[in-house]
Amino acid sequence: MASEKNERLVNLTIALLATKKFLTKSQIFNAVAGYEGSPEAADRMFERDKDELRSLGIQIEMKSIDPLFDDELGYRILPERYRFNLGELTSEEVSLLALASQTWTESALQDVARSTSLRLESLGINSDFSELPLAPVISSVPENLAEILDAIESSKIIEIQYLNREDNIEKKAIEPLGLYSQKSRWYLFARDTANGGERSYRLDRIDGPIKRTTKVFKKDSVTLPTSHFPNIETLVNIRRDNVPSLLDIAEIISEDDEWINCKIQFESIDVAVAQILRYTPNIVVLQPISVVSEVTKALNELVRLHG
Amino acid sequence: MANNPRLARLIDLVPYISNHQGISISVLADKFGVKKEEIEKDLWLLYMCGLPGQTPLELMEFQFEDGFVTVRNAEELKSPRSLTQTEIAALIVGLQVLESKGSGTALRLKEKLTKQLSGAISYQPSPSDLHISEIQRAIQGNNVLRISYLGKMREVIPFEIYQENQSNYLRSYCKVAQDRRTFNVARIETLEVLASTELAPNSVPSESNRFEATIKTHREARRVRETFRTNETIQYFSTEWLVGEVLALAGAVEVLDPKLRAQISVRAKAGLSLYLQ
Repeated sequence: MASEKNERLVNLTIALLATKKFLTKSQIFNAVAGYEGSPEAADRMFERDKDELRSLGIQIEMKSIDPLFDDELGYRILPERYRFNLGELTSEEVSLLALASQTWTESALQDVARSTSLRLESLGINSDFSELPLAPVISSVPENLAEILDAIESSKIIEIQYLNREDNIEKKAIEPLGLYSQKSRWYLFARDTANGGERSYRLDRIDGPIKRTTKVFKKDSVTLPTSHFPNIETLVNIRRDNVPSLLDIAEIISEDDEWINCKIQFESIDVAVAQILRYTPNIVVLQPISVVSEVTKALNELVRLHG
Repeated sequence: MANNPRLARLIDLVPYISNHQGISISVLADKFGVKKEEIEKDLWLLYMCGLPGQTPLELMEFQFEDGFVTVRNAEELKSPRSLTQTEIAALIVGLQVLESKGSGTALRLKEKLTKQLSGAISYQPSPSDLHISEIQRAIQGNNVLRISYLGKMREVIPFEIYQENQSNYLRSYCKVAQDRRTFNVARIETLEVLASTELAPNSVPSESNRFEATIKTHREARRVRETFRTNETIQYFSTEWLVGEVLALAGAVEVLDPKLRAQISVRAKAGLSLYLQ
């Protein structure tokens, strides 16, 4: 029964925390009620219990305790590793951490946020949790974010279904390396096991559940792709009193009664073309030629389609 | 995330009560986000737990009095457990958002936590992260908001923010349109909370109409779906927005409704004529 299991797990935690020396499995099975059945069954139960505790961040240390033979292992939980420990924290820092966890409120990570916040409140460092200012909110959190974080943490190969450009599913087995966001989009940075190539996968393009395998991979230090800085400069005319959002980021060169001549940086040719098309005919692109030709090609296509 | 939320709660209850002796069960239920009955069951289970041997001396000691709880003899579990990797990652992201608002302490804490994380994580705070709390502030104080949306400035009286398909929407009264308007928060380009406070006129007609348009996708099906959330019949509030998106899609999609086709065609032709000069 689930409640018996949880009782056993709490007792196991207490026993392994309280012990000064490493306990053997048989000592544990004697001391903690609930390890029943054959020795093999009890062993399996113990292995599962270790995993469950690990998923809560509770590490069980293992050590060979027989001076002559390696096969007798001892177990304990080191209190200093069990305890919430971020070094000395001031009450201001505790409040700030609580505020940081609250940015996840009402998102897919809200349980994580709640649990963190409760433990911060349990530190006994005086902070007034009822007086926290309004936290900013992480505005777009994909449903599968917690799942992805778990996958990165476990260093195991995962299988995903990824939607390609034509919205068809491609199956991929990847090594999850890191997670980042840019412009409100979340990306999983991973290595494709098929060809060893590293690339980013947008989380909202991963279709359906993520399948974990048991295959472990080695994670070296990961460098996430650096942010996409603007890498294309365009010369445009913007019709006066229009498109303030682009004028905000523009470097104005000259203006007359009708047009403002300016330079605008975009992160890619695709983005430049899309933005210029979106605000047509209140914007005209003059340079570079590549963007001009993409835009005119698209406008011709739009006219052809829509008559 | 914890696969066994009950176990997490059992373990976290002990330090929480230790630091809030005499707390009421209903406050605990509220804090832990479960029903009072759940907390009561948890406390009964914990009541039975303790050091091996489990003589009364070794058990944790809970006292319930008129719905208030105290705990003693809980040395081992008195400190809260350490952060998991997922929790560290979540905190780093939260601190990155606070740092973008200029908190130096957030930066220091973030660096401290990053050392404890095995994977890599990075978050670029988006303007809407900050917009949402500003909008909430304006809603509470009845302040007018000045926003730039789809290239136009508007002054609006905000009512509420709601979520749909992972996007945040602002429901408001637009002083320019003199009608209710809904805005996608992610598309608000600039936002300013004005000092003036105002309430929307009572006689405002109901929510402005949603329109429908049928489209045909020619290529780049993923981009079309991500723009319109569908590949068939689009629901939209603003014709301006719809026409802009169809133009931006550069012919990957065709609109079938005659009125909209005419508008798209007019704008595309006007655009083309500028390049032929």
